[in-house]
Amino acid sequence: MSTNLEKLRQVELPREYYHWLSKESVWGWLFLLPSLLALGIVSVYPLTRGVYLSFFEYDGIADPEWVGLDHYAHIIGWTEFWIVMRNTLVWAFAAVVIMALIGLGFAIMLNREFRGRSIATTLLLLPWAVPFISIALNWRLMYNFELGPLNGFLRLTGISEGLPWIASSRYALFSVMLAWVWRNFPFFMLTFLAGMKGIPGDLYEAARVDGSSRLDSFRHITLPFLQPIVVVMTLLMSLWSLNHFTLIYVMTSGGPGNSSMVLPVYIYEHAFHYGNMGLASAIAVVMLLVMLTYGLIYLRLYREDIGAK
Amino acid sequence: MATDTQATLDEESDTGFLGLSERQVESGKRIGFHAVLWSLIALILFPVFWMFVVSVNQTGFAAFIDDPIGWATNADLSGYYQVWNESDFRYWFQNSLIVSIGATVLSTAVCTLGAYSIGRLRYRGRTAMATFLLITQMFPAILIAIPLFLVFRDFGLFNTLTGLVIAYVAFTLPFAIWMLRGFYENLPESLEEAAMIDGSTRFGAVIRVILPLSAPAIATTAIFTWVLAWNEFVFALVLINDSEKQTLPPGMGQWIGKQALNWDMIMAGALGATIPMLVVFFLLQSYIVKGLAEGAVKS
Repeated sequence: MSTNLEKLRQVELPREYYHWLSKESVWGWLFLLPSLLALGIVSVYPLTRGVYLSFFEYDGIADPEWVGLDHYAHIIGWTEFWIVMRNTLVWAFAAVVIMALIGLGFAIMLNREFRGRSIATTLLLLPWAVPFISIALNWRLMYNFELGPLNGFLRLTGISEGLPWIASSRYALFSVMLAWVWRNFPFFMLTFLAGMKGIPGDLYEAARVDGSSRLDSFRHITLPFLQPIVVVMTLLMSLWSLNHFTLIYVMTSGGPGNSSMVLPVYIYEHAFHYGNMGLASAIAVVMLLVMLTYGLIYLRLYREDIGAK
Repeated sequence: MATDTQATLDEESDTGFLGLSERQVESGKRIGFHAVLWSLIALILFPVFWMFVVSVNQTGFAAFIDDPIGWATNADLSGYYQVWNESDFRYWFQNSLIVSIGATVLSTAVCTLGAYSIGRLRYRGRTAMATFLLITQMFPAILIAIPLFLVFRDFGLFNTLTGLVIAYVAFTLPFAIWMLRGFYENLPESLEEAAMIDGSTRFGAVIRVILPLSAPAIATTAIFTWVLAWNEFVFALVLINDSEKQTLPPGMGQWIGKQALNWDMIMAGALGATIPMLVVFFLLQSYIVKGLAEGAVKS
């Protein structure tokens, strides 16, 4: 949705306006300079050095030894790596879908007038105010076989004798994902809520007069209005999920076996536990390529919604 | 606004349901709605409640159900005492505060300039910059952490809080600029021009006119930066070596895998690490909601 202001901005300007020495240009780059410096030194430079490192055998101490594409050749045929890759993708995308749905459900509930609404909103935001490390430790306890409330509840209701949540290769990844969802659904909830507030009420009124059901209104009014928000949030959250480290590292360390292992933890272990910085960098470069491919295709598809013209 | 949609949310029922009057059906619906909503909220908040219960009394769930009052009457603060006096928690807490505050202040200052530039000034390359910022979110943090460790080692920044602050500023910048940019784009065009006609420079106009206007948006961005910094794990794990220089996340992460798990101590620490977040959260909650609405949702 572009305002008049944005339309005005898109008007073709005289060329000299964009001249790189125009006053506005100079100010623009001047204001950007600190950000560019910070990003260049701590983000872009290390990134290129990481790519460079991936062509070497390096343990962090002895001289790096050039091995060319050997690491990559090794990765391609490495079953364990593909298991970890699959886990990472499942972890990120399943989590985002569940978060978005839960967030939407709560946003719909909170988007009506009722007593205690602001308290309810605040309480539902609370998971967002708990640090990752506390969530990781807290959920480890939640899942604890003996003391944990989850198994306690299962025994109380007689459903089962308790499940080995994070201790079983079958449930570990899903169990950690649940904690991640718990932490992040408020993010979706809040942005959806903000989006719903911006929908003119008379649209619903008109739809109702036309005899469309509530579900129809939701599908044809609410969802299209929320689309830009869904698009931006989903992109950011899936990238953050792919990158997430804390919960998995603290709750399961990727175990049992590699059943809950995801790429960031895997790369860390190879670089700093086994001292294979070259191989770890190569895996990280593959991860970068996956993220870039996904991200850029996404940006291409939803250009208008994201507003990065 | 919500009142407008309200009417459409409650379907009209001309025929009485089960022979009840319309008002009875209405209030039945309302009670049902509240019952569902508040039970869901209770469910969501249970882990936080449990964190507190165990921190004052190491109890199992079964014991808790048998005697829901007992845990409170037998509560003690030994977990809190232990975490503060018998672990490095107090150092980690202090370091986390130093690093998070330092990174937030620096990052917010730098990102305000950057966001103003990208959101407000027109020059060739600004859209490319905006896209580049989004692309940096696609860089795996761990891919940057490995070479950064080597760079810091060469420059004597390894195992220093200064180094960690520098890393955090760069790590939080892109998202912060992205958030603020949306706000600046929506400001009316004429603001600085008016000030500049009055004879102040571009910089003076920004300081005197734009900064006061964008204070709430800047506060929101600062909160998000703070949360990112307070939570950050990988860089601290890789770039800090001594326990006494460590921040909370990697420090507390070591508690797992220790043989004897003192759950009351661990949960006391987990709650302790939550307190600064809660303070920020409750002091500035309105900003969070407003900032998200303005930043993420383009009006």
